[in-house]
Amino acid sequence: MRVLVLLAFLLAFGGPSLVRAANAPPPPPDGGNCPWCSGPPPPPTPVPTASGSLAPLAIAVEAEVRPSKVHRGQTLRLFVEATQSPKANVVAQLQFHSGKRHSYHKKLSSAGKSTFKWTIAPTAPLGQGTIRVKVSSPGIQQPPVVNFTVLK
Amino acid sequence: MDERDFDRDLLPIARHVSYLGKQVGIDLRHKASLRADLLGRHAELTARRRSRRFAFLSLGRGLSLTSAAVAAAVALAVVIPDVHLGGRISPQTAEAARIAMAAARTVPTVTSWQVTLHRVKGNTATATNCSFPLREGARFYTRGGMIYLFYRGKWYKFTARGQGTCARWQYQFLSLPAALASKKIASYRHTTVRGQRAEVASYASHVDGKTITVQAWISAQTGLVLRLERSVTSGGRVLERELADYSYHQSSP
Repeated sequence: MRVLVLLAFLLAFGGPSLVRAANAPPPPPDGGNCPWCSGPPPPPTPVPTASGSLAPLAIAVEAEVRPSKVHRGQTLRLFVEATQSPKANVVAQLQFHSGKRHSYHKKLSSAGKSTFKWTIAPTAPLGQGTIRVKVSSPGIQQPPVVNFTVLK
Repeated sequence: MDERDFDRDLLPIARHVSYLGKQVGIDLRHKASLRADLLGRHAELTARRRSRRFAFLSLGRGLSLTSAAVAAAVALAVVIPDVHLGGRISPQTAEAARIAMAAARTVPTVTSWQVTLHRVKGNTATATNCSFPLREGARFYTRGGMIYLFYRGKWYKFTARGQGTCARWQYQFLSLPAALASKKIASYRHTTVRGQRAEVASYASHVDGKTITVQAWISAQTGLVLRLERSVTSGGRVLERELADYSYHQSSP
């Protein structure tokens, strides 16, 4: 019993140094110059609120397909929006459930928008297809992929 | 310290340890991390004690194991005087504390992140890719449920208010780990997402006769949100479903 109480005591007073090592902020990436590692000053030191201009700007590409469940003979529409990339080149790569991938090229408008339109052929393969949208603009890393399904 | 948590014969020792504890100053940040760590340990002890209860009674080993639990309770009571130790801290709370602590360590290393959002609503499917690069030298930091931004040598309090299509998802990796502690989590389970071990937390809310269910996949190692799924249902019918996948660029591993 005494040993256990002693253990508890050591945990309470000796533990901090061990726990500090485990919970310390990650090592600085540049080998020592890490002004943010210690975190913000603790209360009651006042910390100002960040203005909206300090928030990271979103670089977004949106691809919307309508209708997502389409029949043969129906029109499939793809709306592309990348407002930070006006006039950029855009490629839509359409692939049905089976078969080859087809690429379609366009340019975004000055508002960063574009629409693609296809009529689903009567022989189009049934099942889930994909459209991959690539916008040529810096900061856009991964092309969004949107799914559609040919029902009958 | 709640004296009801101790046996009568241990009370003088517990009081003395508590008194000694008050003589030692502890850094607030360190105290918070210590608290989260001990809560996690307490949950483990509680779970282990419950699973062994049967063996306990039959083998007459109750005294030795109870002593270990009491010893841990003494340590907890010293460092965390405002926490009651009657088995009232759920494993969910302990898990939430552990995730929040891991996220607090990792968040300052994030230099940019990306959210790939898939949404199906009615007969429309949308895929949106949002990238959020931080300014050169900027870092986020989370502490006590607050978000801070470090930029050009200054600290700022940061309000997580997103914009555009990804608004709802933009800052979830900063706010969700701390918010999990206050949510009524239905369950935690383990799985793997993109090769990473993840904890899955699910919770639900009800608004205007609709049920909104959220599932969050959080990296067990880093505390960063890997995936979020949000479904809106009414009368068993899915009205809207959104799936957000997160990826991060970090300045150090």
